[in-house]
Amino acid sequence: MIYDPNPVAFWLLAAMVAGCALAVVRARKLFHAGLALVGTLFAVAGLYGLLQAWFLAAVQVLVYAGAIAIMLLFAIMLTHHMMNPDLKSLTTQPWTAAALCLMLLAVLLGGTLSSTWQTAPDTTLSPTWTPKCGFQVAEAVPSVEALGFRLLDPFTLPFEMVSVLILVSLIGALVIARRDPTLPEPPEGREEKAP
Amino acid sequence: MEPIFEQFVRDLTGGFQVPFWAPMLVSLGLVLAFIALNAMFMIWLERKICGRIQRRMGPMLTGPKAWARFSMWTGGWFQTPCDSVKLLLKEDIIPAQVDRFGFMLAPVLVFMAALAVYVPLPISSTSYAQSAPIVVAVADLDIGLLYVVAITTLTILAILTAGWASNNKYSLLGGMRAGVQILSYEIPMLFALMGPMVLAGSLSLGDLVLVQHAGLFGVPLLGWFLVPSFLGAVVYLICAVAETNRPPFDMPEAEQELVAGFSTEYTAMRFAMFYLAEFSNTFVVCMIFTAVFLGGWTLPGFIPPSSLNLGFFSLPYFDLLAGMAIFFAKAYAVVLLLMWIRWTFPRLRPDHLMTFGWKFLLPLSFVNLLVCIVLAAIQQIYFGGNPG
Amino acid sequence: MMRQFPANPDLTVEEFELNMGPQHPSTHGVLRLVLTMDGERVVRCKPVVGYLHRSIEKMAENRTYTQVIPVTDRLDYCTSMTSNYVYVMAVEDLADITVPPRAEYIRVIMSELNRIASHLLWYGTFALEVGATTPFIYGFRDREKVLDLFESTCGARLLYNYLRIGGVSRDLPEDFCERMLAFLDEWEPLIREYEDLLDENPIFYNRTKKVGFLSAEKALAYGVSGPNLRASGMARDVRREHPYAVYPELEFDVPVRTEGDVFARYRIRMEELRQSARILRQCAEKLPGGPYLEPQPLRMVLPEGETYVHLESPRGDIGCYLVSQGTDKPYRCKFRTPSFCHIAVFQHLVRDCLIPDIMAICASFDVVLPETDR
Repeated sequence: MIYDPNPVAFWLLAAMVAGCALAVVRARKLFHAGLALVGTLFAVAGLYGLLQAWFLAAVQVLVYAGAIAIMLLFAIMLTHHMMNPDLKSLTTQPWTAAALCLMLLAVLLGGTLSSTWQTAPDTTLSPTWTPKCGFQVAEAVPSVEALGFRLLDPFTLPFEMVSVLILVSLIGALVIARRDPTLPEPPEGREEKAP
Repeated sequence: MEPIFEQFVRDLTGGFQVPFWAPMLVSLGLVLAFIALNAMFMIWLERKICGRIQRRMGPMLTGPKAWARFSMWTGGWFQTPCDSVKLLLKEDIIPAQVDRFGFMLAPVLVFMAALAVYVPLPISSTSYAQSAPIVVAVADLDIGLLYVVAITTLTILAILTAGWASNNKYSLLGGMRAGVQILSYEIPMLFALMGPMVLAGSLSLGDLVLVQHAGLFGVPLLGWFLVPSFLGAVVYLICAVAETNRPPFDMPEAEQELVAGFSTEYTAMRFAMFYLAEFSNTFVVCMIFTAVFLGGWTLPGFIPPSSLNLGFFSLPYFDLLAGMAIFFAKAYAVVLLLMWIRWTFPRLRPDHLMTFGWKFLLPLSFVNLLVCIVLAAIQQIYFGGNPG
Repeated sequence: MMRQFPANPDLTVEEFELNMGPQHPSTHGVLRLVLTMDGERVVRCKPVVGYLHRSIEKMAENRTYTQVIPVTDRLDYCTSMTSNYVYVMAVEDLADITVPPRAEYIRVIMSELNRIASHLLWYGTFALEVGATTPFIYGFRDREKVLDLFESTCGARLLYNYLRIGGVSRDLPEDFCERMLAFLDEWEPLIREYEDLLDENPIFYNRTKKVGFLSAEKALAYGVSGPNLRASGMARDVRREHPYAVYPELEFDVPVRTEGDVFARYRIRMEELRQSARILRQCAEKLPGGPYLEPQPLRMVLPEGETYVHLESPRGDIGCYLVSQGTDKPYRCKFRTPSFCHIAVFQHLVRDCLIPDIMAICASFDVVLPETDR
């Protein structure tokens, strides 16, 4: 099975990615930049969908656009004045920055164009998949089950390490967000102290 | 949707091949029409149930007078269309100090989310001219459950944007509260849905329903995931009420405190978008509950014939229609339950809400997941896996 | 105002001011609360009253004693009978008028019916503040029946202008007692229904238990009275301490609780509903015949002097201080209203509370603004 994404869909999504990314950098209000970031992430999820990686697309929306970007928006809302004035660009050395960006672009393009990309599913690892409603498929297709099998079989160690990493970051967040123990605990609507 | 639609058109026109974009447009049209009609009906139903619980009659003055005189339940049919027309005719006020882009974007986003979530929801299936059932949904995605949860994050975004863009302390408070509430209750919801996922071995909603039809341990009556995953069903229902900002979880929109929360500054059609999206989401959540826990469009042990012989003519697609009727009956029963809850309970305070979600529902959903894993393992080992 | 974190002085938290009211769907009447918030918690609450000031006391100085009665109606429009009563009692005290026993009984019946109506209104609005919309309808539905009784007696549903100096303005209709007893028979079991909706509900419990604690010392220091005081442990009821009218002959309990939180205040008022029903049944039994009014001249002239009387309104201790200088108009008529003190103490109870708690506490105090502002 060869992937055959609709070119119109691809170019639309790619334009959305590029456009929203540009908007993130160029937006005058920080909140708009946050919204544009969400747009970028959604478009990337769309690209994943075009590549038939449905699970990855859903997780991209759920985790990136739906949790990380929203956390960013919360941070923006909580630390800025409500309607903040225009952001001024803080670049003091634009030419150096431009040169660096061009070099980065060269590296990325070189790497992208010179490597061989897999354009068909790897049938060596995933088992033949029989969906529960009785269809028989001739060959393996990318699926959540295949992903699950791979996580448990060749990629067990990274899987476990990622879960430890997430646990560590969770504990770290709790420690940071904990109320400062030197401050007195506010009473829960009990009798007030002297005014 | 594609196979059903193509089959339908072929039967109707004798072999016409539809272009690739036709099923998409037809689905879009059907879903939009359904959202509109369903909202009208549900709002009327909500007001009538509210009236019944409060020992009054609800809307009675609109619509044919003869109908109203007959009983409480036949009066006021035109109330919601009248309200919609009123909302359409209202002046669309955009306060001067709001952020125009965000202000205008938020209702669009919330409606997008409400619309997008209908995609994987199966309402029926057919075995018409095929050996295996074809599920009737806009697209029975392999990752149906995950997709549905992912789309609720779009709602959070819309509410946050609405709250921030309104340039109003009340709206901001309301928006942030709503965002935090939905985020917190998404996690127990996801875990509660994982129980049925483990039992069925698939994330696809159509698959979930078909496995429920086959039954647990070979017994069709136990098949509904309400039975093995009862805790999960309860957790899911509570989280669903929280996700849609319905009372008793409607702190973000609490009239008594924040005027109208994040939608304070919205008037006319923009407000109608939020309102419509809320009702649509309520029904979607009931649909998901029906599909995942109540056996969807199936009844245990009953397979409707693919065409009903009525004597003088035979009704085709009967299995499809019967499935749809059963599905909507169950979904509306859950809707009635949600409305009953709404008009009985007081409102939760925000910190109680958070405590309840994180400290009670989340552990409960883990327990449910464990139970379901054990049951699925028993099913796998002793009863030969999930029936195909 | 900024607060700094001791561990990290660069981080500052700004408090912001939130203005609740005077136009707000939930403040009881035209009350403005200027809240200083630290995030979700209230740091300071400053109530601003006076939006409903109609200079009732000044108006009273320019009217004859009988003309003041309709003005007192508007003092606390939820319990108009009681407001009438306190003023009329002051005048009768100063002028040394004895009221016929039938009139006393009628006045007590009206006061207790008014207590029921007021508490039902309170129940509805209190539940609405906490978020339950159905009790609102239940409370108001049954209040309608009480208002029907009032309407058949004096023609008005809310502002009665029924009491007169020396009695009441007209007699009860013949079937009043039957209708009242029929109402009580039908309605008393429904109190159970009201409680069922809220009492055992964990959501309600969490919203009201340990919220808005008022200690007995603070309550006494601020002059809190009525159910709010009794919820903090002090068994004070004007009907027991300085009995007036026919209360000495009636049997009733005064519910008292010690927790001092919103839940205690709620329970006390529900109990008071039952006690009022009990009083009403006794009055219906003992109602004597006879005149209902000791007629007084329209333009009464009171001897010089001053007096202070008080009685138990549904909100608390309402008092009237009357000074006469021998003319036909009061020289000074001052009303001591319970809601004024309640608002004063309320601002100290909402410290470190969340906004929903403010609503719950304010509603539990049963504050009416017209009484506060006069």
